[in-house]
Amino acid sequence: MANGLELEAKRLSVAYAGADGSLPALEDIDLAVRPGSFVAVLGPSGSGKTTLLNAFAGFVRPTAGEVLFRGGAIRGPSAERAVVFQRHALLPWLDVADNVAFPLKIRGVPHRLRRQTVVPLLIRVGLAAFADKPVWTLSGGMQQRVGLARALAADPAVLLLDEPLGALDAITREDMQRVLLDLWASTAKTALLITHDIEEAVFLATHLVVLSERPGRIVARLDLNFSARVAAGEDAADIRADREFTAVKAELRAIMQRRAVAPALAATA
Amino acid sequence: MMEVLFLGTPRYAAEEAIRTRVADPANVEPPPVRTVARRAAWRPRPSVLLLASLVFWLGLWSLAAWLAWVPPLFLPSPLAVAARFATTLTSGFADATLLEHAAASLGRVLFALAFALGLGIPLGIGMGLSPWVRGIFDPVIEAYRPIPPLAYLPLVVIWFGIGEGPKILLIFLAILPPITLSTAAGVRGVPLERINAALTLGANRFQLLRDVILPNALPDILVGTRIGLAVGWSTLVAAELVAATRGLGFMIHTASNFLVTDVVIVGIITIAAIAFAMEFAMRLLERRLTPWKDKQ
Repeated sequence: MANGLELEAKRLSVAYAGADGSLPALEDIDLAVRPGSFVAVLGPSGSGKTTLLNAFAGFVRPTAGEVLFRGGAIRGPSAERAVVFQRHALLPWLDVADNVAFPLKIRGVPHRLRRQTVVPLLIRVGLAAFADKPVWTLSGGMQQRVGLARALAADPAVLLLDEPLGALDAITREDMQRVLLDLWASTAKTALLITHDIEEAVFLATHLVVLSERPGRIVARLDLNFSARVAAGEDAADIRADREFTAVKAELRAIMQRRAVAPALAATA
Repeated sequence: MMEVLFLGTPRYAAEEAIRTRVADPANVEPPPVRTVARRAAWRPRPSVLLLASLVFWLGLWSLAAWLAWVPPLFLPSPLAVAARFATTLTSGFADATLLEHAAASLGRVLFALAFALGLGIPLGIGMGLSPWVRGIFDPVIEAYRPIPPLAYLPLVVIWFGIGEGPKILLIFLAILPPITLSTAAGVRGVPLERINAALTLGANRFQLLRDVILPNALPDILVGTRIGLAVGWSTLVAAELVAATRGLGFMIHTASNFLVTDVVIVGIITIAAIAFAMEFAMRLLERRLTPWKDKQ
């Protein structure tokens, strides 16, 4: 923890081996994540934003540059950096409580004890009444609550959120954004959220970066305080309707549209 | 569990009611229960269909025998077969009762199944995890899998003789490919997110295999077992062709040598009944062990 940063990417580039040579996904990313911050990475599909998360998770290696966790190079997945996926990450043969308690099973905690241990977590994400239900019987939003609770049960330093709300309907999504915000605020964990939803990024992030189309580069950085204001007690609906909030959204939309249109114009010119 | 299985039903009924209401504005109070009941009345229940099918084919068989469309030597009447069924149960045929023949065959199939599971599951896991293991074993299994067991039966006899072992070996060889290949497919089919999530929660390789990959492959292993049992039973008659003294296949073979057609039919029906019962038991087991299958 030499410089007090939780996560850091230094001149990070990642390229995948394609059929005809290498396919660059990320280029020259510099990003510093302070402990306790909520960083949102916003980008169109194919911008390499999931690659950025995968690099921090330790699923992919940098082609150039480096990714660091507390000053040390990231060499593989670790329980310090738990990932919440969009789907397919739960274990359908286990019930809700056993899914949430899975990280404790990995650490060798006996079955009864680990089920008791996760009860407060289940209460916090609103799943206490569903502890004994098989996860596949739950709705999408409920399943994401299980995924979040499971990641927290591992007690990681960092939560890596790979579009966890991407497959949910609008109402459930706003609901889950609140759940996410409350958990982040009450646990003081560092969070890195990948999303293509502008409103979600603006609502949740303390620090926001925008990636360009592939190969992804950072084209904008923004410090925000809406999530801090909600955490401090301001009404979420008021915040969403706030003039400053909508102005930031409009600005980001303009940046993303310009980025999306520019290459096409260049091609016809 | 029942409650969970029928979670969707009330909503379905409600939607049905709404749809009816929208479709027919003149109908002020459509009774939704009647709507559902009327729809159901158009589709006979599967058990009723099964019964009707049984009655139809048995009736046709009786008619054919009664009107002597086919000589009784070739097609005995259902009643004659039933009578023969009773005597093979009590006094037997070819030095053993029907139950003894059935037990001998069942024993061979179950032994072969146990060996096939014992070898096929680890082999399938290896093939699913390692390209090397897959590269070595996949061509061999794919090459012999489509060959009918009767074709390599002589080779098995030349190499291993005519004892009990070669008979079980032949059935084992038939059961092994479906179990191995579906285990391998199940292991390869684990969603990457599921593996990555377990890794970031701290799982090591052994825990990954035990707690994620194997349970994930269980539905495929069960399907492979079900298919394996079916091919195992169809290989049974071939396995019991050579130097058997007991078994349903042996009984059928002996009866056909002496043109005792009713015993042949008794044997066929017995094999069908046992295979059907096992298939049914496997499906129950699948529903009990892997209720999440196809739900994610």
